[in-house]
Amino acid sequence: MTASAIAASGGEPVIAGKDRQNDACIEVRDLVKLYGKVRAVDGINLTIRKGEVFAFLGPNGAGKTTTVEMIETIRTPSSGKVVINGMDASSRVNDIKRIIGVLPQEFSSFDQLKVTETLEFYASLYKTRRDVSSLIKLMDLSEHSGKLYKHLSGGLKQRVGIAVALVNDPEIVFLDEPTTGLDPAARREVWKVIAGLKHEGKTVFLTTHYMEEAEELADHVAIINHGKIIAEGSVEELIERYGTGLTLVIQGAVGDLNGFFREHGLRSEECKDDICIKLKDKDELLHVLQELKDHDVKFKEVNVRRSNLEEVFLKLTGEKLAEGVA
Amino acid sequence: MNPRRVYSTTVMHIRTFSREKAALFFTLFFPIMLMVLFGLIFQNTGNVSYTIAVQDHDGTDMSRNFTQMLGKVKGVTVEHIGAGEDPASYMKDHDLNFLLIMNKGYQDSIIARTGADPNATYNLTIKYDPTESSAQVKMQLVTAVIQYMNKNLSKSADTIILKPESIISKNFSYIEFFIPGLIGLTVMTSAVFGSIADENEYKQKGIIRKLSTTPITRGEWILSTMFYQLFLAAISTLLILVVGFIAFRASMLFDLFVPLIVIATAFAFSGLGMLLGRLAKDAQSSAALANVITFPMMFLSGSFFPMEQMPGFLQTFAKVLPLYYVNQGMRESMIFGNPAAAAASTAVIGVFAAVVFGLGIYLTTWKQD
Repeated sequence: MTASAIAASGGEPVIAGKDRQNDACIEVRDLVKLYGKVRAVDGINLTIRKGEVFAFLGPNGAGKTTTVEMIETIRTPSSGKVVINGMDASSRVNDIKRIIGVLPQEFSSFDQLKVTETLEFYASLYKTRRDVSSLIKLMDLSEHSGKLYKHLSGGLKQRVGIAVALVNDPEIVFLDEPTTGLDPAARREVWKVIAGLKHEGKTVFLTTHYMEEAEELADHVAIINHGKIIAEGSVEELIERYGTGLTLVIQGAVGDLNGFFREHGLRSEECKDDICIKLKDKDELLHVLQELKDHDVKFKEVNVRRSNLEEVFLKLTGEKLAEGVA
Repeated sequence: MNPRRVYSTTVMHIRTFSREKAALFFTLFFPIMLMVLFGLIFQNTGNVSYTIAVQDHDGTDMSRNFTQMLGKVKGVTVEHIGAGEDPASYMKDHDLNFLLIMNKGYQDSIIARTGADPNATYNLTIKYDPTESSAQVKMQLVTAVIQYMNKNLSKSADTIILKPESIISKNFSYIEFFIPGLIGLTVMTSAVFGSIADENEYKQKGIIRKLSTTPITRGEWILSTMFYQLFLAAISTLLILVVGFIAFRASMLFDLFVPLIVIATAFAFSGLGMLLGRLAKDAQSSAALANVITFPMMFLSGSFFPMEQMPGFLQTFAKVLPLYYVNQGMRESMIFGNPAAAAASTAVIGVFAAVVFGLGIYLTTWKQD
């Protein structure tokens, strides 16, 4: 699907139903952050449910990290309110810090500490803490536990970072771009770990640049652009609402296929050297394939493309997420 | 304030430091190098010995008596060279800068002076290299001996007699003067620059931001850095004292105020470093700021030389510098054995440390804008 093929349409954001608030873990109400006259975060409302993986997406400079840091209590909002487990983030900072675990963007730790020492140090800052050796096992770091942090690979460093975010056995884990800069294999490893967190019953607030990451992991997605939430819902809901559905791509066809489809009441268009047909659903797909067979149309190959989050994101924000770099 | 968090953070700092080889070297061995260097340069002002070469052409009992007298002067060793040697080439070959030649006729002249001829004179020849300072010192030593001899020959008694009485518990050498200053200087620079470097590194790596999401407070973080710097200060102080004693026989006095001053100094200057590291925009500007603050103190607070050598207005200015009180207090304790004066200086540094710590907590927070 080419970028030009997707017309940006200003649809209403899909706002999830009121029921999300029933088991809310984090509630963000009318959150605003001003820098001079710039509204970096412009009246955001969010509800994150207990035990879900919540993915927060947005282009660079959209206000993602600013929002996350206000929720983490380390940045003061200009106005609005954040409530975590019923506690107001502006007045109960210390109580909130006890129940959250944070992997900051571009996490880095003390170069000269070994993995075990790093975890023990961070654990010592909390009253309630998790057994470090079990955490090392959980993160599959056993064979690296005696290595200095500076000697670890990027993927291992991120795993240590996530382990550090878990030392206090937090209820909510914030992961700010946990796989940025990692190679695909290391990224998959981190995904496995995040999926495991959900299994443990943790609420995960995930900020990411990667759409596949959100598709793979998220129960609920919110997209922020220019400081405002422009869409929210499950991955399926967003694709259904903003995606273009199924597209049949026919490659290497012989003859005037466009004319053929027009005759049969189907809208087709040229895309590059191929012919693309937008489909309503699976039944329509079977119908078209049957027509092709019945009329003995010659072609080299057919493919079915499904809309993905990437396409939705592109359509909503009008820009591609930066790839590979933060 | 949670002691457990302060303790574990201090241990973390020490552990990290112990694995940084470059930091280990600069923090612990640099002051020692500085001391050895200064000790060697200023050794002349202490108990040094001069060898004076003498060529005796007279070869009489009296001329031998003269050279023996010269040899009795504290720090002087007489070296005889054969009467047959050519002075110029001998000096060149043996790298001598001073040679006393007793020409023939010394004994005869003295006998003549005490008896037959009251106006008899005798000439000693000295060959020397005026560009070398030790030759000048030797010249003064020989002159003093000659004056003594002349006085004895004229048999007149002294009218004015100088009787020096030191107010110091013992005579101290330059290195003993320098050691208290070096301890203050070392603790200050390692605390200021160490704290700034750590704070910058942790800020730049995002560790500060990570810590801000944990329960550790700003006060606990500052305090743990202070304890860590105190640990380094204690090691440095011990090293300086031990090496000073072994290499230069520098034996210092010691009282309760020595450790107290070291504690207050480490706290005050690491607190200052934390403050600068946190408030300055970037690593370069905080390091520059640290230089602006420590450099004048290094030279104006009497670390290297006595303050009396400075003009009056600089001496007055020095009194606003914290390091001045460190040096004063250290010397009162370690040289003059004056606890009352040391206590006053300790109090000044203690107040400064408390103010810096308070400012550190008040002016810096974990929160971002």
